[in-house]
Amino acid sequence: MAKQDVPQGTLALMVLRTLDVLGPLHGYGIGRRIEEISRNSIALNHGTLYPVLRKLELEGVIRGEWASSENNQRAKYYSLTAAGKKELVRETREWERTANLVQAFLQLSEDTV
Amino acid sequence: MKVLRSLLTRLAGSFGIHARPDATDEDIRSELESHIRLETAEYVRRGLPPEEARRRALVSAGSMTYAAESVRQQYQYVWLEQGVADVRYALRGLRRSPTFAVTAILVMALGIGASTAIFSVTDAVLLRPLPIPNPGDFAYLGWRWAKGDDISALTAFQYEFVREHGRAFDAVASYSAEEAAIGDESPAVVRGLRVTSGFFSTIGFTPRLGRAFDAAELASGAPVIILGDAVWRGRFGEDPRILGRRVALDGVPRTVVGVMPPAFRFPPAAENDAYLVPLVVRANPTDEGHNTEAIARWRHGTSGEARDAEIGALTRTFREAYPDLAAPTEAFKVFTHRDVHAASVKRTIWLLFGAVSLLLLIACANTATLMLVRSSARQREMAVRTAIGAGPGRILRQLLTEGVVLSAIATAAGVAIGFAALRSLLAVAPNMLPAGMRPELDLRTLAYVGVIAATTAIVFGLATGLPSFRRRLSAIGSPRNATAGGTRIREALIFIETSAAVVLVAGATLLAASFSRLMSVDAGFDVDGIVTMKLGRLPSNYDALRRDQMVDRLLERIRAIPGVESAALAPNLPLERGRNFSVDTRERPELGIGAAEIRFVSTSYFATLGIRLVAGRDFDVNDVEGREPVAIVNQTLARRFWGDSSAIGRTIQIGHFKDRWANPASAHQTRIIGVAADVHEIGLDRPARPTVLLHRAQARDRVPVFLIRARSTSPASLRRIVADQDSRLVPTIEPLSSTVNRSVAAPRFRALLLGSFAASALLLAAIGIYGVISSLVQMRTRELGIRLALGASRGSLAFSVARRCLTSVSAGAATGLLIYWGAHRLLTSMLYDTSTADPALLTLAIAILALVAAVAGWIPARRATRIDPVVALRTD
Repeated sequence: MAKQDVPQGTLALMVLRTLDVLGPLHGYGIGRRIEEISRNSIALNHGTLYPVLRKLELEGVIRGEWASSENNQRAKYYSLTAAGKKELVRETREWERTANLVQAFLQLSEDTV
Repeated sequence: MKVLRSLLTRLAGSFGIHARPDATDEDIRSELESHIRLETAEYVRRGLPPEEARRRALVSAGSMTYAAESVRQQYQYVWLEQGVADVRYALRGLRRSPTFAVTAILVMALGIGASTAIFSVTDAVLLRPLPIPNPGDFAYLGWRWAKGDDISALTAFQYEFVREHGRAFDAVASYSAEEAAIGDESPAVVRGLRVTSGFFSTIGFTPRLGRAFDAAELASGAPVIILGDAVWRGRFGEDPRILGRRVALDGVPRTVVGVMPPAFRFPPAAENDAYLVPLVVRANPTDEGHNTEAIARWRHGTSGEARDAEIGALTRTFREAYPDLAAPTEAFKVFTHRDVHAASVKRTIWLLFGAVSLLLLIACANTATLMLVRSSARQREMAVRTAIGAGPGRILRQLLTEGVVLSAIATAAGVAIGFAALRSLLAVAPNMLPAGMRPELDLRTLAYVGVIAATTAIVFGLATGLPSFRRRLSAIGSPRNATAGGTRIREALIFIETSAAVVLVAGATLLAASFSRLMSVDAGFDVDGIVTMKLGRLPSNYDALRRDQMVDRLLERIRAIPGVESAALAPNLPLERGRNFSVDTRERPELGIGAAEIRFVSTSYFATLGIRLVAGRDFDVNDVEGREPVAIVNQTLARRFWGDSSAIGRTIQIGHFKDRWANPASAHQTRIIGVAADVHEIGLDRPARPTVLLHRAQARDRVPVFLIRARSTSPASLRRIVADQDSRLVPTIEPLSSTVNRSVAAPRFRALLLGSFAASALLLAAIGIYGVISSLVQMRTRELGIRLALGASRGSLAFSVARRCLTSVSAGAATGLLIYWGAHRLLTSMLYDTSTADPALLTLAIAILALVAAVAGWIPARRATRIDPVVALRTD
């Protein structure tokens, strides 16, 4: 399957969820995990990921801090804020609602024979 | 909420203000590099050699520059940041070409400033609605005589009639403006109104404190008073218990019954808002004095036709009831506020507004030309930017921004200039504008300025943007290949400028000629060496007898001053309004005059003013009250009644007209003892009116003015004499020439202002022509050099350069003349002894323009003749 771009809003949700599950992580780590989970079907590069990270940081849903990584290298670690947790809950619910709605319609057209 | 947090940071970021540490380039770069490092480490862990690992990491990361840029964009709004960058660039560009910037801004600022000032005046006098509730329902009621637009007030009798029979009015009232001293100790002179019942309903304001006058007080003229808000605050300290207090008005105590709200305005007498007292109007069918001001408020919703019908019905009813009092051609008439107060200045103001708009047009065209010239010299810069990667939209937007920036700066400067211009206008000609119509820089004016600013921004933006449409990348190599397409636009602009300039110059020439002819009119009296003195308001303890005695004593003492040749008294100064009365003769009553000028003068009046007595004698001490009534008439009146035969010894009837005496109590024959030469009593531009001069001794009423003929006399000695009589008096002393100058203030003002507009227009047009031809020569240097080398004469070169411009100017001049012709009738009422189509003056105007254009075009065209072909061919 060819790699596809992901819309910004969805990427933000993925970032939040990743941080929620895995705890504080640097940008590279977040990108790796997202690629893994999507089974490498998403094209992520600097230009897509980091703008989203900074945007979320500006909005106050994640917090970035410089720290030393495993191999003693400096990296910026992001973590979820309290507001971020609330935002995650809200957006998850939104997504599920949208998905259910679309699903209902899709099922409708199949059932109509 | 989260959006709000980022909003401020991003706004500030767009302006280059980065407060967050993580918004710096360093932070962004560090993070991206740490990502690369981590990924490299990962690849190394998987077994790749370090260089290969790093290469893979870099590849998968993508463009770092692009990434850094994308991240940076999170901290700003891109469109805003670009806009700010554009503005900064535009400002830098202006700083780099200071001559262009200063010229363009100055030219536009002057145009905008002048327009703003004149618009403010136009709005105040002609456009702004009255500051009263439902101004469209407010009206003046007057009486129209047979001839022309002369508006006359009503007689008291007519006023009462309208009150009784007017059906479509909600209220009818009368008022008179006056001045009085208010207060018990150290009274201050203020201006107020006497008002009748119905006043408050007519004007739409009622007292905020207390109440309006009641019917009984109005019927009897009771000693009550309503204070204006400013007086209550200023003089009485906002006393909350002011109602019921007694306040003295000219020494007479009155009870305060109310205070008007601060918003109270009475446009007909705008400065008379200090107090209100009752006015009693007594009607008398034989009293012919049209001295009752009548105002009314139509019932809301009355249509125009209904209003006309009502007035027609009123006139008909009146005429049927009292046929003696209304000739078939006379009628009631309704006037608007502007009819009454602004009629004389209306035309002048529209003239000025039109002229200043033309000037603004020229200024705009000129600046647009300058910008076009400048922008076509920047083709190279544009080509370079395109090559680097700027899209056409981005370049266009930046050019438009330059236009907007210039327009914004010019507008700001223009408003400041307009403000100053307005102040100086009001200082120079304070009496030109009707009272209560003070122009100010209010919201309406600012809205007008805003429209002008927006329009100029668009025009300038286009002026800079258009040439860039024709940019070619090849312009990088040879900027001289810059397109000549902009030339057509520039020629069009010259055409516009010239047309507008011609209209202005033609108008200014005519007004100037008219004014100079007016000034050379022989007034009929001497102007030099005569001083006038007015005593002003007398203190309240002067009754008629005391007043007359004091005046006589003063006259004696003034005549005794060494150096004073003669001195006299008159009711008003020449060229100021006086009284009029009806006059006829017993033998030929059909020649009677409804309104002849009447003057009550002292002895030596004619000698003092240098008016020749054509026949008979002057008044002397024997012509006092009790003796036979005598009069001196002027030539116009004598000729009208008796043609060429002598008027001496004949009699006239003053106050008698159409078989009726205005005041039967003083019906008598007056014998003529002298005939005086005609004088332009009511205006230098008006012919002499029939005038009757009577001796003061026979009828005095108010304080006269003093006329003093002296070789040299100091105002100080006059003041001393007055102070000796009564130290409270403060006389106004000025030479008679000031009065004469004041009487021609309006035509002088018009000529001056329009003259300066025309001069500015010529200057701007000259600059425009100079600029266009100059740039043409520069652009075509190489071509001209070639032609020169091939044998063309220098003269033909100069001509070829100037040819297109010449066509534009000629076409512009012709169009300007046509436009002037279309509008020339507007000037008719403002010209004295000058026709609006005077061929000599119009030719002069065209000649002036042609001269200016020729000089402006010749100087740069001459450069074409000086081209050295060798140098030109090497030019690149």
